[in-house]
Amino acid sequence: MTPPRLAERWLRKIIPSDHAREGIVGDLRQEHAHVARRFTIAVAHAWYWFQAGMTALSYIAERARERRKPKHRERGSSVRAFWNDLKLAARVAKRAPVFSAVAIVTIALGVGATTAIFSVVDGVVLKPLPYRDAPQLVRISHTAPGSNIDRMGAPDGTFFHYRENASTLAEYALYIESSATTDGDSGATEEGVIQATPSLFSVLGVKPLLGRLFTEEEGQSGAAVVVILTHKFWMSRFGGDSTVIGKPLSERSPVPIVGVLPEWFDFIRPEAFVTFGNSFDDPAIIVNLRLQRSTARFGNFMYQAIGRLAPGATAQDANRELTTLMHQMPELYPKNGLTTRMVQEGRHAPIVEPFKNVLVGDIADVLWIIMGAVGLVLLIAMVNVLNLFAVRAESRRREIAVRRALGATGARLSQSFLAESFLLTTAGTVLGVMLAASGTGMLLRIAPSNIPRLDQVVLDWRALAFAGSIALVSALVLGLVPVARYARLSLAAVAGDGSRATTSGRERNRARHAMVVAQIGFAMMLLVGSGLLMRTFWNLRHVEPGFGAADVLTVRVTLGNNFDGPQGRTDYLLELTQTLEQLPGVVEATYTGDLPLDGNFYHADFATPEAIPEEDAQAPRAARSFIGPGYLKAVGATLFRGREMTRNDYATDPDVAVVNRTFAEERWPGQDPLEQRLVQWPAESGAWYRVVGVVGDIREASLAREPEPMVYLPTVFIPGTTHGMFVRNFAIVLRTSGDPLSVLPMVREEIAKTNMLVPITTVQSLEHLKAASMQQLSFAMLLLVTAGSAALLLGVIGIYGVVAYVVSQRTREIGVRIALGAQTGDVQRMVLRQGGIIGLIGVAFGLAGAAGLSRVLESLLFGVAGTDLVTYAGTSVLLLVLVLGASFLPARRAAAVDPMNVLRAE
Amino acid sequence: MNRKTYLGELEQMVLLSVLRLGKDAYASAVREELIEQTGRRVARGAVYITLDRLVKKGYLSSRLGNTSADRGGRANRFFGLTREGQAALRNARNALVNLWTGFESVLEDR
Repeated sequence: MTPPRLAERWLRKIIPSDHAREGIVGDLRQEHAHVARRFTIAVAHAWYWFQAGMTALSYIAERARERRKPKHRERGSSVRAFWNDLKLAARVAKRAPVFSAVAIVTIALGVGATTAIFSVVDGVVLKPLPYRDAPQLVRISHTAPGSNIDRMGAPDGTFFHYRENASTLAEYALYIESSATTDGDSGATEEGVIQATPSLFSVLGVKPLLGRLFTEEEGQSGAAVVVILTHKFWMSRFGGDSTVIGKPLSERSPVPIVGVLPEWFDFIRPEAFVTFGNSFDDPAIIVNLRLQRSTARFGNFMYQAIGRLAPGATAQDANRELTTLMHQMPELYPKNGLTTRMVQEGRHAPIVEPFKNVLVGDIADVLWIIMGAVGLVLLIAMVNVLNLFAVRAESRRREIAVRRALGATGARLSQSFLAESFLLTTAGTVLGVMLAASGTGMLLRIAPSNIPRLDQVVLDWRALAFAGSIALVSALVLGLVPVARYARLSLAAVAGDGSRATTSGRERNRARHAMVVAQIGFAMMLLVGSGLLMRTFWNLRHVEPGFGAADVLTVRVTLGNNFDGPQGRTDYLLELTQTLEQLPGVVEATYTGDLPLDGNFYHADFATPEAIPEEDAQAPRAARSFIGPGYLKAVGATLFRGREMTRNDYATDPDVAVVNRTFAEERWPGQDPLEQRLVQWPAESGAWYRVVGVVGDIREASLAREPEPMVYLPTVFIPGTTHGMFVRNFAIVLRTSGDPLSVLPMVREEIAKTNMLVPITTVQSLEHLKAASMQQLSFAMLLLVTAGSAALLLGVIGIYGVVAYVVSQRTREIGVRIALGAQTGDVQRMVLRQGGIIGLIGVAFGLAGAAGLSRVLESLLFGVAGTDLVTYAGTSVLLLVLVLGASFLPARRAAAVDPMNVLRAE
Repeated sequence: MNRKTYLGELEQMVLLSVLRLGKDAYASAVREELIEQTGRRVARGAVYITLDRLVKKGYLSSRLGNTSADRGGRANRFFGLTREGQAALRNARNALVNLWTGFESVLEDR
């Protein structure tokens, strides 16, 4: 006569086991049997169900009541309890000063380094641009892969067409950077100028500090030229004079000033926009860009375009719309522009992208990589500290067990350990933040100047919040580890611990080994990354730039309107360089419109008689540089065929040109390039050039980029053409016999003698140019190598710690072995093998991780594959050697164990 | 713990029932005694829970009795008062008696 099984089962589930469950169930059974005897089974079952239900209800009610009852609390509030915990924690920390110091310092290093790098990443990449609704700002550019054009700006026709017809763009503006000569305190200076349509300010959402902004009319052709000052220029040139509105800009340029911009307005130019080889850190003035609708073209993509997305529109929407609009343009703006066929063949298309991306661009990748690297170092450091805590927790097992026996709950223990970890972590974080402050300062000092937005890098509340969250997470993890591990142990289990390594001990060791394996893996990844970058650096340094960089001085000058047109400029330069050549120490003097490795320079379309493009098609593009006589020799280019252009040519026969090998091979494959002819397209009469020489490829753009086809033309003005008309900025190139900079004072003097009003803008040796082009890479490399070394150091310490600890655990075993006849060598080998195994596994993980990491690095690498065998193999060997080295000391100590001591202590 | 904890009402009654039952104080019997003496239909679960609580507080001790087929092989649990339990009962009663002193008249239901 068993009661309903279901009811019994449920009942047993509800009653807690420590409530004498069996007794209750038994009672019910007994009574059930009793009822069944008196009445029927059916009645008994029903009765049972009822009773079971009622009893279950009681227990459920009891459970609820228990939970609502306030737990038995100690006297005082929880805050006071925590304060007590902290005081106790401080005492505990003081009693183990080495442990505390090591933990604090390690945490400080980890937090400090990560926070410093974070502040850089935050400032450069994460923080929004200072303009209103910055995410809505987009840059509009065009591409034409079919014509070999990767990226170019926008033509003035788009100002009318896109602006008036694009519903996805709320506003559209064009601007172009140039320079102007103004009077400074010490003679003429060259200032950066931005010519912009009035709409630029509404795109950016700027209000003037003083005066006003441009009116719509001032953007139209025929309007008077006016200027707006940037804040920086206003302060430096006009001393912040508030009466400057209406006054002329300078004596030689009496253009009226109509407004002053606020301080935060910092028109950051995308890197791709450096014209005429000149780059200014900050534009000084904004000038109204006047456009004429009737002459607007769909050609000459020389303007930069920036727009603001309409609410709700995305960049992709704008892209689609602009593509449609662009294809309408050849019909609407047929004059002097691209034809439909050109558009098709060249595969022209607009590109709309967030303005910030453009600005930050490549450097974002680099910075994130560095951030990842430093993050790894932080992880490794934390693992070390975790190990420290774990070891310490282990030595406090007994204490924990006793406390539990005395009634401390898991919560209580957690609180107390959290207080300890909290204390140490806070101390470490405070120290770390101080380190971060100086670290950030140092990073800013060594950072290459062409990293944008460095002024936004500051250790502000965001960075502090970042540091704080790291600290919090660390404190939690570090504090809870001992509780998680040891809180369950009863006193009995711990007190009887004179015995062999229990299974829980083995578990612990495995966890510790796993952590060290992880450390080694991370360190390996970092080292491989650093190694790859170092090889890239090495490769770049040894790339044949195509020119000899030593002993060449470059002096940039701008020739303004006081020269008699382009021919006047050429005449002046020819004369100047002739004079300069006479100076002592100067071997050769010449000039050029573009310097190598300077970033960007011009392209033009060139046609040859064999390949005259049809009516509405384009000619293939090539790079073009206007140079002075003897320039190529001065920079040490290799001449392969023919000769250079000489002063004679300039004087009498200026229709000559020099091309580089790539151009020659492309246009006249298999033929002799000499005496071939070429013309800039669309051709203007009389502008055919004759090739007189072929030079080796010069890496003009950057060391990493493949050289393009290039044409060198003389700066001589050919009447009837527009060639060379607009080049005003030149670099005087001087080959010296000694230190290039030593001739500088004389050069300055000479220049000033000839014409007081020629401002000198930048002076650099070519060597410096070369180094500058590798700035970003060297910066990244420096940081990565530092991170890698730190990781290595920490990893080695970690290994040492683990191996030493394992040895100390196995002292008895080792003693026994020695007593049984094991030799020193055997013991040492045993320990080394243990360390070696850990190392091998770690390296294996590291290899896998590094392979993944290298895919991220790929964009930075040059001349070395992401899976370069040499680097991987070399780093593995290095790590293994270090791991074995770190195991060496514990191995020696193990071998020196005196078996008698050990056995006696048993 | 030297603090005198006062017994809840049900706890007192359960203790007293156990006292009355003497050797035969097993769980269901306690409940029946309670119902009989107080006229209060106590929920079975409440009695069990109270019994356990009293054991935890140290006022009752329990031992296992014999099994029987009827019980499906589960042993019966017998309860007995511990010295602390007796003391607790005594305290509770004294407290009540002191409070009652002088008001016996209320005992006569008017």
